[in-house]
Amino acid sequence: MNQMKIGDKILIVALLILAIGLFFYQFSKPEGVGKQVVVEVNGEIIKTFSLPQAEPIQYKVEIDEDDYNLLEVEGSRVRVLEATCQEQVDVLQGWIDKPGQALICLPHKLIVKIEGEENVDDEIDVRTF
Amino acid sequence: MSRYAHITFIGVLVALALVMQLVEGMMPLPYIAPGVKLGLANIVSLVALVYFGFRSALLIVVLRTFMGAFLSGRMYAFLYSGTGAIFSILIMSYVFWHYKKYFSVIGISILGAVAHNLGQITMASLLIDTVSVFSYLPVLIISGIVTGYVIGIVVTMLQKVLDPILGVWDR
Repeated sequence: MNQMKIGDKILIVALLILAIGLFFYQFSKPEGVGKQVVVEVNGEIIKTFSLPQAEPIQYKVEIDEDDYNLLEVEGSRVRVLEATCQEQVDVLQGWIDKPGQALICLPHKLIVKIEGEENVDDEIDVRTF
Repeated sequence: MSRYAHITFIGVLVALALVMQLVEGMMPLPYIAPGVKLGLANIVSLVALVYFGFRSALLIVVLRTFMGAFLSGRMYAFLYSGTGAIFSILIMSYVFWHYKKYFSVIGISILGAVAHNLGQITMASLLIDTVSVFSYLPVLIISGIVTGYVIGIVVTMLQKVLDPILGVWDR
């Protein structure tokens, strides 16, 4: 589009550089292996699983009478199999298997994260931003 | 423009934005990352900003997100998408009034889309008390550029139609 002005172009390029920079920064993080899965509701840890699991496990997080999230841990990865939230964002996220990754269900205030060896995920994310 | 014409326009724009927001919720778009969406309602916010100014645009955004939360039954969504939308309109207004010389509607739209995502993700991280959601930031910035560009083009096209009608009125 030729009606774009100079600022638009600079903005697009700057944002692209920022996004690509952040992307590579995150991927340059030491990978490591997930040591445990931590399930938090409302900021409180309600369950942890050590990784890897020999047998697949299903675990139902009861939010209240009607609402739940059904988690599945298999090997070194975890996913939300079923959830009663409307947008199903956590289900759509699929499997996660790297330390620092997290499955999030905002309406249920649920967060399922994988922690690495020295529990560094939060710290690294803080440093990133 | 008379006060009544102004009120009528605000009402029509809020209704339009609401419909766009709800229709967008029904669209089967490919899932990329949480929070990635087209932002059709931003068309209305931008039109409001360009033709009716900051206060009307802010009013429309607040009404739209508030009523949208009621209509979709997702009250929790108001907290974070509302934060994103309000943050977005503040940024867009500021740039529109101060740096209009350097930015076209397309640039302002991109800025608004990225600001929306940024506000939303910040609110989300506050709500669930974690910073892990920020790992989506690169995806959200890229998607903001793309959706912002598309919305910007639409508004540019709309301006060609609206200029002869609304341009004559005092802003």
